Amino acid sequence: MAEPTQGPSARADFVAAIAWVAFGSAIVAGSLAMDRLERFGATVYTAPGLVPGILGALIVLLGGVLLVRSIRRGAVGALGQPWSPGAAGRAMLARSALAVGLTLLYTLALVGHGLPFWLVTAAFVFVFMLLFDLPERRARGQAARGVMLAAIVAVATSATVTLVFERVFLVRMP
Amino acid sequence: MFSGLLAFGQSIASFLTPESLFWVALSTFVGLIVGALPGLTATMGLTLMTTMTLTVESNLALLILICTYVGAIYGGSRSAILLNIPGTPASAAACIDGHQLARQGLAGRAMGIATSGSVLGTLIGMFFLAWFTPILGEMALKFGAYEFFWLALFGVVISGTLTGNDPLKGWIAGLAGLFIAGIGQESQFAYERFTFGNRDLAGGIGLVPALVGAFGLAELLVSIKERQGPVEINPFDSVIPKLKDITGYWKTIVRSGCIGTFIGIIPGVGEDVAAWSSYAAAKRASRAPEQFGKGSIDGLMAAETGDNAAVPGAVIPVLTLAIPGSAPAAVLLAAMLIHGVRPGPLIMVEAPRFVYDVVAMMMLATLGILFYGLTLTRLLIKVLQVPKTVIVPIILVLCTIGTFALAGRLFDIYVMVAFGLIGFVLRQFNYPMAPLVLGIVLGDLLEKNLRRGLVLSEGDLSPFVTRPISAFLFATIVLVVLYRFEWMRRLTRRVFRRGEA
Repeated sequence: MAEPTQGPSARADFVAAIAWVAFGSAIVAGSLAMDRLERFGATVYTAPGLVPGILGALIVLLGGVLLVRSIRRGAVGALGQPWSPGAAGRAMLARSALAVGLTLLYTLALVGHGLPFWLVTAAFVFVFMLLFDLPERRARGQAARGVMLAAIVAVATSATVTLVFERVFLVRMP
Repeated sequence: MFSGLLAFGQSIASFLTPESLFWVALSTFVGLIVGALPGLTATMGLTLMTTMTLTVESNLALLILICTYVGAIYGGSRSAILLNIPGTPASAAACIDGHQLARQGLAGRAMGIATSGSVLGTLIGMFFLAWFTPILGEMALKFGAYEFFWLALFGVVISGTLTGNDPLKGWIAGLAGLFIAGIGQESQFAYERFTFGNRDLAGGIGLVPALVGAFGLAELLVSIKERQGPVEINPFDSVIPKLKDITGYWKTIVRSGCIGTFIGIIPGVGEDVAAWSSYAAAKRASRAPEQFGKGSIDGLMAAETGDNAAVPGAVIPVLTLAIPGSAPAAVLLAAMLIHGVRPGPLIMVEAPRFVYDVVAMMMLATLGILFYGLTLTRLLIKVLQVPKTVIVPIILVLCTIGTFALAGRLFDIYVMVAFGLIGFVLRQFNYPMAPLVLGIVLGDLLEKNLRRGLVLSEGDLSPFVTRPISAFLFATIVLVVLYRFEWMRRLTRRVFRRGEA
């Protein structure tokens, strides 16, 4: 199969494999619990749970193969080791968490929940650019320029997107 | 043959209006920018354009999408050569020799080679699209439920095998995609599966929101993870392709065009695999393989011809079988269905002119990339210097509003976000996205035909493995899966060595 991955990568596969086995088992359980619909003339070949059940079983099978493979590649030994991503890894983690957090806030909490779309969009783009761009600009002594650029891009994006979608594509804003 | 040429001529003529040419110019340009900017991919660009062309007349919408598609695959070569960063996954092979040429002060020549390779690759693919689509359409009329079941499964298995670097993870992603396709009301009794009482989920997971999430949002989250370094671009000379670069490498062009088109036809395997396969074949056939990786014209030409030839190739199974040949082709398929086009075996019967319309669209897109390839370089350099902290939030907004625009439902935004997060997490664990998305696209086809086949045969599984085409597809799937095991590879080598002796 693929080139061997030792240590932490094998550990990641181990965790993922357990998740897949659990996921597949849940699918199989859900499929078995489904109504067979015999009263509507369904046979075993047309039962609603047939295909999901087969897919769930295959996911369990391949998840099991992944589990065995990861154990062979040293996952169990690596489980006890502390997870230390290093400075670069921690920085990437922080950026990912920030991006995910802002995205969830914008899409789940702000859009379509009372405030005008153009306002939440401008705020989102402004805050996003500030948080990701400002530390570097501050280090270069360009903080004011960074804030101004973020404001211009935020307003331009919000205005353009709202006008184009409302007036050209005739979409009602959320 | 002449009726085909006549139909093609009529299709071209129908698009030679100022409005159509304007949209060709604009959408090819947008595709080029999307393809050139690292962090934005062809699939993302196509999904966003699909959401923005919902209210446009169907032929015009598909013209816009095909021009965006061709432009994006070509555009990736710009950043590959200038920045050593592929603008799209399809251009990764172009980085190897393209950027080396740029470092030698030959960036202009490299871009000229990429332009000529892309144009000629698309033209070769177009030829096969026009010639092979009617033939495959005729063959597909013989396909029954059993064949379509195996074809759907074949697409997921082969996509899982060839995309990414771990087939086991590819297959798991494919199976997950097939399962996701089944969420909601099933087709026979409208029984709700895995909806947990949610009325929105009863309608199933929308394909376009899932695509925007998996290929749009997930890609943006991966892109913003790393801090962007300073963008340095080497100075370059003329970007006009040299005739000797075309005539001197005609064998590479033809070989890569054919390989690219063929790889494009294989379901779920797209432009990136086509580029690498063409590159590897060119290296094997080259008289100077040691030059590959050091600025080989041959290598760059092969990669760029192959990846662009895969574009028309990927459209062939979309038109004849309603099965996408690549991830962007999956978006094209979704767009066709939204606009009321019915791709599949009957297309040559119900709408034969449509196939030639698609060939004409490819031709116009090719002219577009030729024009921009010769004229747009300096502007593109400025665009490449826009920081991703500006691009990412803008595209994120477009992903959100574009998804909402489909049906005016917040639920679609939530699906987009869910798939964005799933895609982001899976990417961290090295799971490829293409099989997941292909599974969602093919899940319905697979299930319907499995159930239909079992009902027709009254539970007898033998037609699934005894009908000729079914047997071939079944055997291919088994061999593809077994070949991943070392004992099977050893057995195959032993068999062939015995044959040679």
